[in-house]
Amino acid sequence: MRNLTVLDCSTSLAGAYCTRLFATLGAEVIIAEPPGGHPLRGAPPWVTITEDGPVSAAWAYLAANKRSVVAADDATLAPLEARANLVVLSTDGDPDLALARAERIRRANPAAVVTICSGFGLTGPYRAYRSTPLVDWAVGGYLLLTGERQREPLAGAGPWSSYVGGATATLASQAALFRARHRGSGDLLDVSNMEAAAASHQWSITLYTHQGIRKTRWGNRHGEAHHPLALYRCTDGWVVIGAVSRHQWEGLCIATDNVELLIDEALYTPAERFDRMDEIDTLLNPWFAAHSRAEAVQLLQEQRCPAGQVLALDEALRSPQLEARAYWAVPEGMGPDARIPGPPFRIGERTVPTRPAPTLGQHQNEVFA
Amino acid sequence: MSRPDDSGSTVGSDWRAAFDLDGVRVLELTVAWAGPMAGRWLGEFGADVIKIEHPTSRGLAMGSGMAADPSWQRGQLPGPTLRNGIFPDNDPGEHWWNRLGHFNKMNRTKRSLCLDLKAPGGREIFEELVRRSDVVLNNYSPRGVLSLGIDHETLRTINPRIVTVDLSGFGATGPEYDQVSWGPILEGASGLAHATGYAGSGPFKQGLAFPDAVGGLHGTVALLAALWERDVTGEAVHVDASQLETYLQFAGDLCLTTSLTGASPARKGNRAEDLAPQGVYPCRGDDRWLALSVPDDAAWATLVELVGDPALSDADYRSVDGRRAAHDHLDSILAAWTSGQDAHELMARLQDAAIPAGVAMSNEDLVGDPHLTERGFLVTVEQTDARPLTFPGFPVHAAGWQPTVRAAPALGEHNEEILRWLGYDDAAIATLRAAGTVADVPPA
Repeated sequence: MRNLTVLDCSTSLAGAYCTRLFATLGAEVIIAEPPGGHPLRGAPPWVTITEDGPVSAAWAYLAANKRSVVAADDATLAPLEARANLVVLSTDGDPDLALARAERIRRANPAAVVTICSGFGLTGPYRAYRSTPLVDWAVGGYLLLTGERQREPLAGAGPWSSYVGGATATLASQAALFRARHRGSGDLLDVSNMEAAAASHQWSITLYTHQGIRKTRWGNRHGEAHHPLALYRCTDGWVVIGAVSRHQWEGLCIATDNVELLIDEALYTPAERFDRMDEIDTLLNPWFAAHSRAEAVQLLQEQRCPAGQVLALDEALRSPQLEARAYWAVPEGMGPDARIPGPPFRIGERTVPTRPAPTLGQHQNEVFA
Repeated sequence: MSRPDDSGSTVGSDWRAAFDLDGVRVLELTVAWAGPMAGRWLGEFGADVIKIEHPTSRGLAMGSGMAADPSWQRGQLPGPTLRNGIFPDNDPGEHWWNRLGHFNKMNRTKRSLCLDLKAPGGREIFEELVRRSDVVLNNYSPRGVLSLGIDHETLRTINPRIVTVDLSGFGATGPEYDQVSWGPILEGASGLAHATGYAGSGPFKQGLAFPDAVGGLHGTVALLAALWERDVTGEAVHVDASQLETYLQFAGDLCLTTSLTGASPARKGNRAEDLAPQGVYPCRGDDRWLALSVPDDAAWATLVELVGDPALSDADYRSVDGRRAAHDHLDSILAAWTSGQDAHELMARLQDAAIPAGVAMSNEDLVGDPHLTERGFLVTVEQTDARPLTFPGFPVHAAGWQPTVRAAPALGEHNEEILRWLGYDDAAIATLRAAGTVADVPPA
């Protein structure tokens, strides 16, 4: 998205993720920070790189490729608002404040798209509710589906439900930018993490509207209609397999020396396998327990049964696949071992440099010049 | 947006919608979730999305010979034969391939051309469509892309301005490019399933195939960015998107930390480093839970007042460090307090006191939620071969417009109008039907 200027006045993870995507796509992204700095500068996890003390890894990642200016008041930002193609705002508990700011920006710059990211949206009974990443996991409907049925539901290891809101804000803003270019006037967009997550379910909501079934969680099994799409323990860790189609089930049975299962025609129906998953896993578990992760995956993939190792993150960082695709970026100033994800996809031959997250107000002079 | 070689479209005029992508035509060759999701976004932004479906494509993982189960009652898990289809009212009907709940959710606001590219005349139809289109989107494996001849180098010779988006599991290159995968496989490869879990437990995958959703969202971002780039350069653009790589975008902070420390993240359940207490607490009823975060000391003071338990008044708990040190103890007190209360009422009570809290919403909760209802999140559409049905709607609100949401097409519903637009007459269409090149029912 070259030739675009994005002004990021948000303070939320969703807003920061939205504009990070624009930065990786080649847009000029300027973060407007209060004099005390953006709240994400204090967000965990922290890493220590220099004697100056720990810095936020979240900030180092989300603010990479962006520029920073400091603005103590709205008037300071007026020149930037007037030339931005997209302004990203956020709200947490006070939607009217964000709306008033958006309207002021739109009056000054009718061509700009203004996107407001929030936990719950600008309208409706929950509009003034506050969110955190865990609350986003909960109200978007993901939380209840993960974890053991006998225990409390389980969130993922990061604010990924909030990022679903951010990615949704990105694509909505992109589409609105096409419209603004065509019509010469921008739109005001309202993107909430709750709705973004609720719209990004597999078939949970359809399962209720079509059949009245309340979906629940199934541990490391996938649920009502499929098995095995699950994790299994090997000698040196875990693997995940997905025998969904007929030929994948056949491949699984052959690879794991359970060919007698092929005689049972009922098991060719994935949901029948779910209903009989304990019986199946009793046969599969010893085979996995006798193989290493690498051995199991190789034997299964040879039979075209989807399978992969459950890698620890340090192993994923050394993944030959990601290495071969030059996926990792090395942020400047953080040492030779530092890695963050590079662009999420390759668009043609274009490359976007990875500039480190800015210091507070680092680009004040050049931006306002 | 401009479209090359568009010789008098008769099908574009009623596909206009608010985002002015109405000049864009997308050919979608996708299965499962991530690819269809990206195509759906484009359709609801106003593009003309033509889903090119193989006659057997809706039969993925499906059995045959299905009949309605008269003993089934709403709310009951269907028997295994019918369960995969998520049929409305658990009835596959006469045309089960048009009543698949998961397909009809993913493929709204598209047209269907049921075409076998490898059958006689199929390739010619496809190539003519490529000449008249802006984007070809697929989520096949790289091997499938080459087998179908839908790779970028081939298609750019047909249309020098075409945008191609390959949305595969591992990407088009690299030693694992041809590995077959589903979303949970990618969770394993990313390191993020390993990082997820209760303290002291093993790894956990997400309850839904989350990398598909993430891949679909980023595939949409990529597609729109490529269209923008095409408009800048005037040349064809190729996107090579790996769902594994898009999924890892959600964990840049963890990647940076692990790369510098060498230590993968420890599983920490629902806790956070900077918020304490934070957890998911039981409420009244079966499997009812409330997520609760205490963001600062002021919120803690408010919570202490609401709970009214003197055990929370310890001065050590007035700082986040003190609360973190006593997290297990605080959890037990909070769980005792929440367990007798209604989750929705408690969410409202806490939020009114400016404490972030949210019900762990079930699918039933989301469908009946007053907030989502007031915002018009759910949509009811007229389905071919089914009664009007409700689906999750469009999660973006803009002042002054509404998205266009149409039901998913029946298999091959638009065969004839698309073929006529391409110049095929009655006799030619009949020949294509007879050869099995186009169809509107799956083969027996």
